[in-house]
Amino acid sequence: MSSIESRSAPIVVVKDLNKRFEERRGMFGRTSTVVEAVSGLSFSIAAGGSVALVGESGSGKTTTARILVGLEPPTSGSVSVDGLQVTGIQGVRMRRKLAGRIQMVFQDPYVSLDPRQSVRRMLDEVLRVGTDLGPEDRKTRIGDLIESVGLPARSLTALPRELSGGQRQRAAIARALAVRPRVLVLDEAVSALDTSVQAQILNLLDELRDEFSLAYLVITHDLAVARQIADEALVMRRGEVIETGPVDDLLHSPKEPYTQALIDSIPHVGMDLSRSDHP
Amino acid sequence: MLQVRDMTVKLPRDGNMAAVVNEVSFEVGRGEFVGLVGESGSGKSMTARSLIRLLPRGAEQRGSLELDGTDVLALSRTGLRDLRATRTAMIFQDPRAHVDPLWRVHDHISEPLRQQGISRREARQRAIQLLTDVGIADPERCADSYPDQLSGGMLQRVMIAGALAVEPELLIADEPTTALDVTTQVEIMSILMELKRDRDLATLFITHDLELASVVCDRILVMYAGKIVESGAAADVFARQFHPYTHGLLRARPPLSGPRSKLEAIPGTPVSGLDAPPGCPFAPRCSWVKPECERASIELRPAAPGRESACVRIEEIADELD
Repeated sequence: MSSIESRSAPIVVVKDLNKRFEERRGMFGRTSTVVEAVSGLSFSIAAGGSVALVGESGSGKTTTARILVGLEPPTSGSVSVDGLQVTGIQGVRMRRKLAGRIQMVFQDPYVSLDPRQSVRRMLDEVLRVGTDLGPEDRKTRIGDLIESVGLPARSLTALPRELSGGQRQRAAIARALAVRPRVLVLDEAVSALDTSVQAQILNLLDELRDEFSLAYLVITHDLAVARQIADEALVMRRGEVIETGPVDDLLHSPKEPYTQALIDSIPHVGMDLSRSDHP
Repeated sequence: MLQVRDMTVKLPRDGNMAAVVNEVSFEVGRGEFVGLVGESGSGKSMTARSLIRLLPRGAEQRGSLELDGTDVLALSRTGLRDLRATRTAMIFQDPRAHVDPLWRVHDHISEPLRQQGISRREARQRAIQLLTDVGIADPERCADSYPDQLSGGMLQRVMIAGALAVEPELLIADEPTTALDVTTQVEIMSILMELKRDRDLATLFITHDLELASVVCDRILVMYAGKIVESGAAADVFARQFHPYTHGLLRARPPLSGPRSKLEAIPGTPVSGLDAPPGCPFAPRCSWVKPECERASIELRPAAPGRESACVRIEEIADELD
């Protein structure tokens, strides 16, 4: 996609990606409808760059994220992450290779963290499985990670429920960074956080991008969040990209009515709250 | 319409009772749209539930609570049932958790009417009219649908229609748009605005979104750790804050224009009233903190016409927070 220009060699390249789901309906699922969750999606992310997929539910943004990290096979198209073909990836070794390149942070850390595992055990396990580090090196890495994400050392022994929402998300970010990936997929990673905590995590993500030379794919419904941590955005609707560009250009001179509608939906002084459905 | 005075809700905690809502006082007038704004643990939802005495087991509620002259805390069981069924209505963040998936939409709306002795046929007609009122294009078809067949936005409209069926005096809307898409949020807020205008409905709108509240509400009450820390006309609060928490909350959101820079995050984590320190609960996170903030509890006091703040440094900070 020409508007998403790379400053350096792209680390993520998505070409003509399609994902079709068959939705079974009716009694015993006898009738089925085909849903085009993602159709004809192409974009790239430069090493150290940050691209946002902005859209509402059903836009295909989360499906795209899941395909990128290998959680979901695409129907057609290709995805490469740091030279590794994601599409058709099979086997433990290949998956481990992919996991070393791209990691995902989810919206709700409470669901994505094992409730019975302390932060230390969780990180140690990720390092044991995902790297060749010995026990001493793992211990050092865990200490560094905790410091990088701004968690106090005492939180290492804490269980997820003993952490606040913000701390849990910091722990989830530490887990994603443990194997030193080059790309992080942030799937609504700050949406469920309190406003005062959301700002802390957005600042943290900004710092980590520099510290670890990370590239981000930011999945969000929130244009303000996209503007804060992404350079460029793709506005998606019903599986298709309808507009792309630097976030500020999209915000200040959107070309598509849908992009404009998204902007108009952001609470602002003088917002139009008259009923359009029945005047 | 609604008058709340010094209301406290306590919950059992480590063998003691701790306040999750701490001496809150406010009013909602007929045709008024009041926002109760706070982060997690602020006690906003507990405050909302306490208005219809819908509290967890073992909770203790004190203070005074009047709905159009009725002393809610003195109500008998039948009185309370009547209050919940016909005089107030509540809509929630997740409508799906509050509907029976085996009931058709019109059953949900007409059930309370049937309870009042209205005939099946008339109740259905009223339900269809209400669905039309909340902007549902094909109300007949919607009335015969099951909740599973409707989108979140449609189902929330159904919930609003159901809430209106009993012609309540007070509508409590607890994060009604938080789980919805942004464009749907605008539609739902528009419906609520119209109801307030056309039906003179008193609405208490519970939200975590201070920006949204500033735009849609007449007045807002900002809660932190079980206490109201700032109140005033919504537009005034948005323009100028008299409490460092409110100020910090507005600053913490990423801006849509201007240079991109580090956000002014509030350090630390919001606390619940149950864990609040003595003195000002915000003191541990406040950059304006003084020794006296941590000593005694700090009450709301006038900060400007129509404005109140629970900060000891109102006078000093008013100019600087401008």
